[in-house]
Amino acid sequence: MLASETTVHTGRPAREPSAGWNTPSESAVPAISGEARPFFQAVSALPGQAGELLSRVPAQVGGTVLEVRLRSGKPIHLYTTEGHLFLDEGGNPLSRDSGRLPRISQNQLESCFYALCDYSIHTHQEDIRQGFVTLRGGHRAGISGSCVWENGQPAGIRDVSSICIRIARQKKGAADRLAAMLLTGEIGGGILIVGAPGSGKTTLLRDLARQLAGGLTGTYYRVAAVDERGELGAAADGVPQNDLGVCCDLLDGFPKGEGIEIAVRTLSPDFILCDELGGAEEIEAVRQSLCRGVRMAASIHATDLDELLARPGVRELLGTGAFSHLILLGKRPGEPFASIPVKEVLI
Amino acid sequence: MMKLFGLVLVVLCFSLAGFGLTNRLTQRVKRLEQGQAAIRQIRLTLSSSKASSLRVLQMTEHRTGGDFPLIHRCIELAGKGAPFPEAWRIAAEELPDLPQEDKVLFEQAGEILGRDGIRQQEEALLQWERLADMRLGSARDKLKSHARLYNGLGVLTGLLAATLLI
Repeated sequence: MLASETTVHTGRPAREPSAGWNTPSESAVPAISGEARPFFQAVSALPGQAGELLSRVPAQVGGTVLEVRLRSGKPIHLYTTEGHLFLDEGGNPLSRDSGRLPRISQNQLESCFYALCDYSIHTHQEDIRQGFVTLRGGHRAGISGSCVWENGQPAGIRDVSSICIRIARQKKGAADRLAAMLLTGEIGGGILIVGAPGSGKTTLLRDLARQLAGGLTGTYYRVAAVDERGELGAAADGVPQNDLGVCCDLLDGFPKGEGIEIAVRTLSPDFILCDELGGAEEIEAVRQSLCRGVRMAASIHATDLDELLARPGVRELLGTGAFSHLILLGKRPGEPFASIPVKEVLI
Repeated sequence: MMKLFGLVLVVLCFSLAGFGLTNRLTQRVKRLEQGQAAIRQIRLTLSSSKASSLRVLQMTEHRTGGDFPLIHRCIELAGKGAPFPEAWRIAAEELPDLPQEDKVLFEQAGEILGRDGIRQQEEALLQWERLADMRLGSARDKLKSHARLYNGLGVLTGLLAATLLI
């Protein structure tokens, strides 16, 4: 299924679309309401008791879930926009753990981990080394367990103790105000979106790509999205699962520094979008993009301005001149953002 | 004349029974050889392609011409939505011409795929191939020692029965 006409350039091993044996079929998922669909898509691959219970969650609750947490020896925990919920034997969400709720065993957790890797742990080794696996649909499963060391470096995880599935939602319209600011000249250069985990940075970038590359602003812009972790486009087997607009080129799985260089050299973009900037080679690539007249829209982790400026390399990144404004997000998705000129921050 | 025909028929039936037992041993050896070759190809394809477990099976089927039924059946079941481990287990269970102990051996190969890093899977599959080699060796020995016995017993039993009927 083709979400858009976006062109995908792949830097990661191909990931086949997969479906569970006893889970809602592809034809059943469209029948679920739009808000709940990402939740059911994210949990559809989970086997056994976990998959069974999560498939029974009411759709109106599924639409509010931000995270699904599976922990060894603990009940299934949903973190929603309304608060914390725990599942009983019927898949009904309760606000408290009564102590009698069904628990996830260690074996079940290992099976869930295996299933989330599409039964091919070896194709996710690089991601697992960094503690996560990207799922079909752009959802991210954070993995906790015992670290395996090789040659003095973390090489993987064994004895998985918990899995946190963060539900990715494509919110069309999330970047309306931001796109307008970029194109009316209120923001003249690139933007760096700053926010805490879960504040909606990726959601905003995704919708910005869709609006710029989809002609929704009145003009089509050539957008190159460098999607190192597969969360922006969520390409599965070369097919992007999210709508990034008809004029978007998706560099799936490319390290950000290399991806930005490739985009600048070969794709002649008007905008380059990437998620979670930070490393030294990324700073240099960002500097190169400025020389070619390409505008950057990127995101970075920080809860506030002080934390942002305390991060190593940030002052150098802002000093490249590629970003004219910082977009500071609120703590929760959907809260209004603040736009601050970089010049004021670097004084 | 009819009696002679009947006697020949009796000898033939018992002989065929003997040949049938021999054929079962022969089929077992052939299936084990196919399976061992297929798992070896899976290991090599995994090492070179580093593709997902299902994709490795598809590539292996293409390279081997699909002569080992487990691979095709597993791909078929996975295509219908079965989780890979379940698909492999069912496909191993459905393998023709093999006793239960051999089916269990092939199930164990499926428990290696996709469970760990490439290097660890390669080592585990090499270990599996050594076990399969030993199993194949003993199957061949059994064929060698029992084939003549079954064939001879079949014919002799047929002749004895024919003699008793005379």
